Amino acid sequence: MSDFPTLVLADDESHIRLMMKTVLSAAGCKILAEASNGQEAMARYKELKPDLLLLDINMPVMTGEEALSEIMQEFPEAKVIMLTSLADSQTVEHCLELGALDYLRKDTPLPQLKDFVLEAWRSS
Amino acid sequence: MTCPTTRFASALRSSREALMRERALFESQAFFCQTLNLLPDVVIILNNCRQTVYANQAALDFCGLKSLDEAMGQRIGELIACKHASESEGGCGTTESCRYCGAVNAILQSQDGKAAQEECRINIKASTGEEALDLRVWANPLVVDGEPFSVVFVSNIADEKRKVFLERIFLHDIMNTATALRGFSQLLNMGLVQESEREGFLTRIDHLSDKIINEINAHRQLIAAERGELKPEFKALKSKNFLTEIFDAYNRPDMLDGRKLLLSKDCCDIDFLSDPTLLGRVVGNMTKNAIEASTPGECVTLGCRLFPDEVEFFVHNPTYMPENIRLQVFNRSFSTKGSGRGLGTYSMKYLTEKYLQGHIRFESTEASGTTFYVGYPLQPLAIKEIS
Repeated sequence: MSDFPTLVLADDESHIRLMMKTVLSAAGCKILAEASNGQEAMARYKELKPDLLLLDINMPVMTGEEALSEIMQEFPEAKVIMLTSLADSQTVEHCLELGALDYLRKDTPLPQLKDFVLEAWRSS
Repeated sequence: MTCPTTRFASALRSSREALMRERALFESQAFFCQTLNLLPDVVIILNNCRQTVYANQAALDFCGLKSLDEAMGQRIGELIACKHASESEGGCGTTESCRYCGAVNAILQSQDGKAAQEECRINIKASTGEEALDLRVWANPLVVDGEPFSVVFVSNIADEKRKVFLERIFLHDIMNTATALRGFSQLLNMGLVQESEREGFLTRIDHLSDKIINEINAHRQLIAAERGELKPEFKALKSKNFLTEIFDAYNRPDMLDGRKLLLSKDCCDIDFLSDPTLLGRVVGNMTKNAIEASTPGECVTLGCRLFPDEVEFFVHNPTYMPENIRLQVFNRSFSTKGSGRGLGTYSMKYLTEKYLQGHIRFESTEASGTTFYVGYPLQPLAIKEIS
């Protein structure tokens, strides 16, 4: 297992995706693809099977929670970190029950965000 | 006498005699009536045809009725002047839109013997035009002397929805923007940005700062509009210039995220009077919604055309809107982005109809996608005070 995961980033805000892509690429991760809604996230996951999927909860067309449910049914080994802006604790809890690896608040300072993702990957 | 047709719940109605007999079952219980009339919440008792046989004082006050006589025999939608209640002969519960009504669905569940609670986003006909209500409806089965009834409680949750909106959507959106703003600043400070990307990052910081201010202003504007405090300022505009400004505001890679934005070649260029801020909010929302509804690679098209005494702006995207969304799209708290969101299309309709003297409509087919149209008079009538 590599020290640096391959990633798919799913968030409807392009600014957030660019921010995460920049800091995680600089840390050694390889960003395989991006998605702007849950449906695209599912499609990219199936196509590319990244080591890690960073999945925003609130997205149009299909929410991250819905996408997670479908991905975990088809790929129980998938490693998914949920991204959340506000501590929506009930939804986050449900996502963890569905099999998400962990959750990450998007307002986490970038150095800690990078460390969190790498640590989550290495300990999985 | 034949029963009117229905596209959802039964249109069958009780006879006048049956209604009076059912009313007497409850009115004869003095303690019961006194207690209900002391409650501050709306309580309505419906018979098996979903018709009112008893209502407490709070219910009569909520519906603007002077006595129970005026309420007798009416269904909930008819009592509160739901705009769909008069669309079909069968009345409340019998149109296509009623399939997605929380009130009708809760009552139907209670008729199956289950206590039900649903939220009801509804547009009613008020003296000032259409108004949006956010209601919570509880419907419970009750059997009296072997006859089935539904006891319905109604609560106005507009304040709760506004609070939820504020906390979830507005703060969520502001937090996203502020997070990205801080993130780009941190990336520049951490030296992780290549020289070739630096200017792009600085431009994004500039746009994100504008975005936060715009989001706060849009929210303040909608609150003021709903309170009747907004005063439109009509100015001379040119349709093509106006639309080009909207186009330029959204024709950016970070806004489009892989979609294409086009300005129709046939845009009319005419002079008209409107409030550029409010109009920009409406057409901007239409554009933003169309972008979000389409997928990377697809085109969103803006255009405007001239009709007698009217200018019409339109925004097209190739995505089809399914029925459940089409029938709810202008309801106040409806959103396709999950619970606790959704004032975009509502605010488009509200600002257009209440303040800009216009009208809004949309068309959506699988073959040609979805187009929203907003039409405004070239010369608005004298502006009335919003009471």
